[in-house]
Amino acid sequence: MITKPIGRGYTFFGLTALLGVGIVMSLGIGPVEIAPLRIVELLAQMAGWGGPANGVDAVIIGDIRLPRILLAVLVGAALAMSGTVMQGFFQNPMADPYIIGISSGAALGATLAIVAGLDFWFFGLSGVGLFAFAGALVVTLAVYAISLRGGRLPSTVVLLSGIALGSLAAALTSYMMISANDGADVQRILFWLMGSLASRRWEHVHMVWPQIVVGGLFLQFYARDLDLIVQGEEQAQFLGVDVESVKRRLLVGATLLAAGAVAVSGIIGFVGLIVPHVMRLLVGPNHRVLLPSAILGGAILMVGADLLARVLVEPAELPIGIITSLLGAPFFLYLLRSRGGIH
Amino acid sequence: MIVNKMVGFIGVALGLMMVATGQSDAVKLIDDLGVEVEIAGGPERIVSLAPSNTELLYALGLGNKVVGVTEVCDFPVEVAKVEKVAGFNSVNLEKIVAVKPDLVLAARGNDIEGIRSLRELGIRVFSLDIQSLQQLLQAVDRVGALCGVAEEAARLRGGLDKRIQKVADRLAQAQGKPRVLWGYWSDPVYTAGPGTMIDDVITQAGGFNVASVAEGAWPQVGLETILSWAPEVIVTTYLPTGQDSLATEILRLQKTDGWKMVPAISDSRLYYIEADWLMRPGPRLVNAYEQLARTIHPQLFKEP
Repeated sequence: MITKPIGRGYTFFGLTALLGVGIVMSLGIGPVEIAPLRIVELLAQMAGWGGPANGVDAVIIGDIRLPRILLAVLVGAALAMSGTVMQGFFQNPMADPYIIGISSGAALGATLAIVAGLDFWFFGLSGVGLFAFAGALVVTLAVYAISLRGGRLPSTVVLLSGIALGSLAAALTSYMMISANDGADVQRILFWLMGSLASRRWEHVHMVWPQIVVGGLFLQFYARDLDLIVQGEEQAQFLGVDVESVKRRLLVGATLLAAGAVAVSGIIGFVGLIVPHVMRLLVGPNHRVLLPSAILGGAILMVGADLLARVLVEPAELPIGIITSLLGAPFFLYLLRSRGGIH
Repeated sequence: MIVNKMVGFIGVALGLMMVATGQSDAVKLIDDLGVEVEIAGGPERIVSLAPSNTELLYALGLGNKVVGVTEVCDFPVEVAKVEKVAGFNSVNLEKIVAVKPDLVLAARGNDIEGIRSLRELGIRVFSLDIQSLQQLLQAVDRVGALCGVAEEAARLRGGLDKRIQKVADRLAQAQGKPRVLWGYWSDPVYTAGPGTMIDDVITQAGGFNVASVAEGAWPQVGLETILSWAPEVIVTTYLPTGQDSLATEILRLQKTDGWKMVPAISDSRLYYIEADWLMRPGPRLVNAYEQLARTIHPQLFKEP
């Protein structure tokens, strides 16, 4: 039996409201001050009421803050959902979206693109993003190929080969950074590794939203199967779940989400590790409920963290990973103490 | 000298470009990211995204048109009053948009995605990538032409050329190239490898940059490598214990195993040079060049 912690309906409502508040605050607060009423007016104008939105503040709201907030929502949701699935898949509370070498593979790809000067945009795709995505997929495929034993995918082997390949990719990345001929390249790589949503625009949103939405729906579709697998693979098999096939799909879905997020934001830590645990404490382990909650939780954390990243040290910006950890860790510890441990 | 020939060449090229655009005041230039930038009549509101750019703009007499700078821009002192619209390398899109610039002067090291975003937002960006003394001199002409102050630029350029020439004349009598290391005596030592601006200025100032044989732009090397490089002069832009401590540092290093074997240490040829001169590709790079030449070849600069 799955216990029902505090009313789920309330939790969902609360999380949605919190995300709404976060988005509104993020739109309203920034290094440049814009009156709240003016923002409402601008948003109405952008939606087609009351004439065209003109002026500097229209650009700031519509072309700078809005795409960035949407990207924060997408990246946060993708990382949290992917992390939830990875924790279920490996039945390991330490698992996160990057566990099977996705981040190291993406970092290697991005580094390669920057060092080789392949940093351009074509057909609405960024070279660095594309290489990061490809790097993540290559490492994941290698992990998959190495771990596959007679049609089965033993979780422990996946985990360990992921760690090994991740280290290999990280070593190659470090070597390329050390031997880079251009100091500016090294700086770019370092900032990419810390993760950021700075200077992102609509192009970035267009680049990843289809993948994240499709990946999310795909994982949601297998939520019930994931529940059964978490309760025991053998038992799931008895109940008619094609365990190996479902595991493959879960891995593919979680990888696509994480790789998509990494491609636009660099490596943002902690969201995919902490949010799933927090949501499990709030709504319980049933993945049909847990996955949508993780989407909301991840989005809230990222929108909030990005707001702080923009305003705390303006006109400069903080790497967002610092903030996700600073916000996430204490809250997580508080929940751990007050709600009595991880399920 | 080559420098003078280049002045003439660039002058002619700029003239041709201005004629080619058909208007007397429209200027078309290709920036160091390969993007063609066109501007008519000179900008009225300029944002500088690097301390070196800010120094160049002020030196060109454009200070009153600078409406945004970075938080690390600190020279000349008037900059303190200008709105800060960027971090040391981050680009704050909304702050820049809010000051309504008609030209953003970017530099190597600026967040490239930020520059792309500015261009997507319809803002004119001209990006400089200065990696040598020569490129700095060219930048004076280019930015002068772009900002409609070609005369002021010619005057600034002329002054810098004259100073460089004066030093170069003396360096012509130099015998040999002393081995020079830029870096601080820590472990590892961060050095300036081949292709960096520091490498160029050391070479122009009549030295041999020992780290130019290493791989990569900023090689980190251990004491062993330093010993094998045997630098005769060490120049640092970093002195955590204050500029007055140089003499004490030399005495300390002369008693330190390993370091005391380095020729520059045993000969007490350890020098401090203002980081803002040598590290910023602005007009004060010429100060660094002059000081380095005197440091590397003191005998050539003895007043008679």
